[in-house]
Amino acid sequence: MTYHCKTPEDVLKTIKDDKIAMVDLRFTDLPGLWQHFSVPPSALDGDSFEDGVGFDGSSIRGFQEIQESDMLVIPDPSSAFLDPFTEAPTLVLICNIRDPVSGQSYSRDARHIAQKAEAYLKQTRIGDVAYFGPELEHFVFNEVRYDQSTNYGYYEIDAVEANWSAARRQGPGQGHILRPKEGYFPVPPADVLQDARTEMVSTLEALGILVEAHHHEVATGGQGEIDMRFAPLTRMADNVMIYKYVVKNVARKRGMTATFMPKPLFGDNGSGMHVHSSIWQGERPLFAGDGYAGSSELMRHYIGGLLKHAPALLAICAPTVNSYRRLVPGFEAPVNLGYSQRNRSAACRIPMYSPSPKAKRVEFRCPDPSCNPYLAFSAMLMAGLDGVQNRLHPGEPIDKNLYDLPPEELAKVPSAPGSLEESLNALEADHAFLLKGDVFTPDVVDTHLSYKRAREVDEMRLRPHPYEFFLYYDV
Amino acid sequence: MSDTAKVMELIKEHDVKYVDFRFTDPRGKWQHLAHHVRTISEEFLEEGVMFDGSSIAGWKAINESDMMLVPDCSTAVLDPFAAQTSLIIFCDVHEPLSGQPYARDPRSIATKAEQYLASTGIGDKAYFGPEAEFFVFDDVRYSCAMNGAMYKIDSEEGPYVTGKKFPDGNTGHRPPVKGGYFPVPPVDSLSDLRAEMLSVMAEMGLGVEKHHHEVAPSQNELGFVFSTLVRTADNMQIYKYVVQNVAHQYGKTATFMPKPVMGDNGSGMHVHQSVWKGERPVFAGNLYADLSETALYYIGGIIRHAKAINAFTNPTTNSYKRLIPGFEAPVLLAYSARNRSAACRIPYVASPKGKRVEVRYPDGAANPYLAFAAMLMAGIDGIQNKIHPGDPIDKNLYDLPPEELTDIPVVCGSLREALGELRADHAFLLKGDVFNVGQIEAYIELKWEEVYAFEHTPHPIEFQMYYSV
Repeated sequence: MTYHCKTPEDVLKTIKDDKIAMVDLRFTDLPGLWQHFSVPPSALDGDSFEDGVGFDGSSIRGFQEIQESDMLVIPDPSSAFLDPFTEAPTLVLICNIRDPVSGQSYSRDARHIAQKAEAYLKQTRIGDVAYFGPELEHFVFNEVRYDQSTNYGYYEIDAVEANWSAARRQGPGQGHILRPKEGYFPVPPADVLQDARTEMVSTLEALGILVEAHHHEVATGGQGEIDMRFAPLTRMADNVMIYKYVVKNVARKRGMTATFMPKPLFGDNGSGMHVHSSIWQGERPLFAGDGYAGSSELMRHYIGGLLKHAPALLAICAPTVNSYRRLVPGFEAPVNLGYSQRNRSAACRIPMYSPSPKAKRVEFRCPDPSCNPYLAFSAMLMAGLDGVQNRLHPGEPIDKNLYDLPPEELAKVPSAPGSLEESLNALEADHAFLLKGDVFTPDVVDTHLSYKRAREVDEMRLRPHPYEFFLYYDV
Repeated sequence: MSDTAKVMELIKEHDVKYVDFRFTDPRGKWQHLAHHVRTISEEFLEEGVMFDGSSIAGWKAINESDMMLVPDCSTAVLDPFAAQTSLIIFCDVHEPLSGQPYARDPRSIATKAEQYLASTGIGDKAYFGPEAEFFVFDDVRYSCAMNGAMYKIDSEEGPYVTGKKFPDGNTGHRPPVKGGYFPVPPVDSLSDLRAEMLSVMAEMGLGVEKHHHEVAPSQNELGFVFSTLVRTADNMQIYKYVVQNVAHQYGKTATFMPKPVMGDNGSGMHVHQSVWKGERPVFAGNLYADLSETALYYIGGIIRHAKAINAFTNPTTNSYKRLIPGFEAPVLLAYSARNRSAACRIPYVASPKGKRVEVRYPDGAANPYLAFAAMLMAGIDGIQNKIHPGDPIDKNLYDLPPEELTDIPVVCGSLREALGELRADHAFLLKGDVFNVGQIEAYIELKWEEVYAFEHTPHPIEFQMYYSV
């Protein structure tokens, strides 16, 4: 349930009126996972919203060194909501992070970066609000197990609706399964997750997040999507964190397990996060015009910026080693860095569902839900603004099906990086556009690069892969 | 007596029942086709054996599938593993219509590399001496499906079985992680196995030298005498065949996969090489480490083209789990006397005849014909273009400060990268028509299939890192 609080006083009054038992303070670590700690209502007063509440930042991924570990969370009163999953009434507050020594906002606080990106947009006078609408796909499985050690490594997924369950020997054989790539979207009994998704949507709506639709997705084994209504940048990133929290916890409540990992299943679609965005000045949608697909020149320049910086953007928008199992060139993923109306094979699409100027927006299709949404949306906005400022023309639209282009024509269309390593190198070489207005700092870019390289790319490269035994055991 | 006549003699002398014709596919796997002795005659051996080349990955299309095996009768050797007496003969692959060597036949390419060397006047022989490491396990299982993937290795020597209950009791003697080099038995449980491997290799005509346990538990190496390029590549095929089949007879399983075990050393294949002109060792001289200028240029070529060569010397996605910068693998493209942390080492030897270069990045997954030929071509290119390798680095490269390290080029970090490098840099391979564009393109395409398949399949560690994103 959302409280529509505005001030610290509103929050304190709600705590008293609703007999709140616990206050849960949340923030996002650098890779993008929600972290939390709880304080009893007695420990929270009006000053807490000014002076913050202390925690040890040294054990948070991508945050401080042990010798400078003290950090503060600064709760945002307007974010207050009642946690739908706790036994005792618990009020959640989304927080920013502050460095207690300097008294400044923490430069690796992703939410602060998002707020700076919004402020920078206003400062450029290009527009005053940027709306974001992400479509997060996810999987809901019945069981997942994984482990790796010196002499073995494995993962195993189970899902009752999956094609591999048709041969199941335990329990009654139900026969209704979804064949690979045929999950979009038969009715129950093949779709076993209708009630689960409905509960997810009801929970989101109770938390004040407007939902437009929910449906099964293309992959078998429980892929789903819930579409939220667009919102301004930081608010939308908050909503993404709530969305993931609700999807995972409703699944857990129902004895299942949800994941936003981009490519958990071999041989079927992965989970993407297409992100719609647009810029407005007051009531005026700046992307609407009379150019290609009803676009304004500003919108085309924005797309020019997205496409120019796409390889660097992917280091933030598709930031896991697993992301690139979805973004494999030549396999129906939006890896071609072009734009088009309707055509879903281009990295940037201009949707044509609605003739209304208010609906005019660009859909960037490369991101996936393993990203930190605060950083991803901010980076996309900065790339778009760089395009507007430098009048970057995106070239000619590509209205053919890019998947079917002959190789010699396809070779002319630049393609997205093929690995996290390539994306990180692209970000290292191209991030001046992120630093404008001090939105991103060199420190946060460096930290992201070194964290991803040391903790993910290198760790992954050290470990043998099951498929390599298949390919190479007999060499 | 001609080689064919000798084969007929051998058949008679040993009452051979089958002649097993062997050739190597582009990936480096030995393939074979057995003919009953009834069909064998000198004429048959001279004409060659027809076979269907369309099912060999990376070779012919189905509509032009007829291929011919041309036996190299000087290689005939009895198969020590066959129940019925069999004679192995290495073959070159020829086009039946033209009668010419097939452009994608690795052994023919290696032969052309030897001929090209002679035609340049630089030398008339290139000697190669590989040291291929391998693991021996008791049990290995793996599978890849849509909803799961796994591998599991078991070995009585593994540090991971110290707590395991064995039916006859756990005897407790085994090497720790990186502790296999090289305590005596019972810690080394594979001594008899290796001895038998070496003896069988000797029976098959290899000049055997030594055997020992390697650094990782369950890891081993055997040594055999160097020889000319094609002959050594042939010997590598025998080496792998013997290692895998003796292990098999012991109820064990041997693999040359470069990195089957996480967190311990991988298996490499250091390759010693030198060029001779008549009786003169061309690499001996009075420059650094008693090398000649020619030898330095050869090293220059190996370093200049290393990233393209990687596509042949380190041709698997798994190869790059061994070649990780910062993890004690020879990834830095530099050279040094004695120092084992450089990609090229010049071993200390007293005699000029022993003067050679050891290239340390290759691994046992390589097709030996293509890998040796590619290194020779890179070395020749270095000599022809006087590519100086710069100064040697005699510090321990693993311990260099990061700012000095960044100036030293490194080998490729992935098969994907290596294939890109080979596509961009292969003119040096095309000289003398040794390699050819069609063959290189087909090879790249074949290897891209592996990259795609590998990049598509989720990895267990990704569930650990990302399941909760």
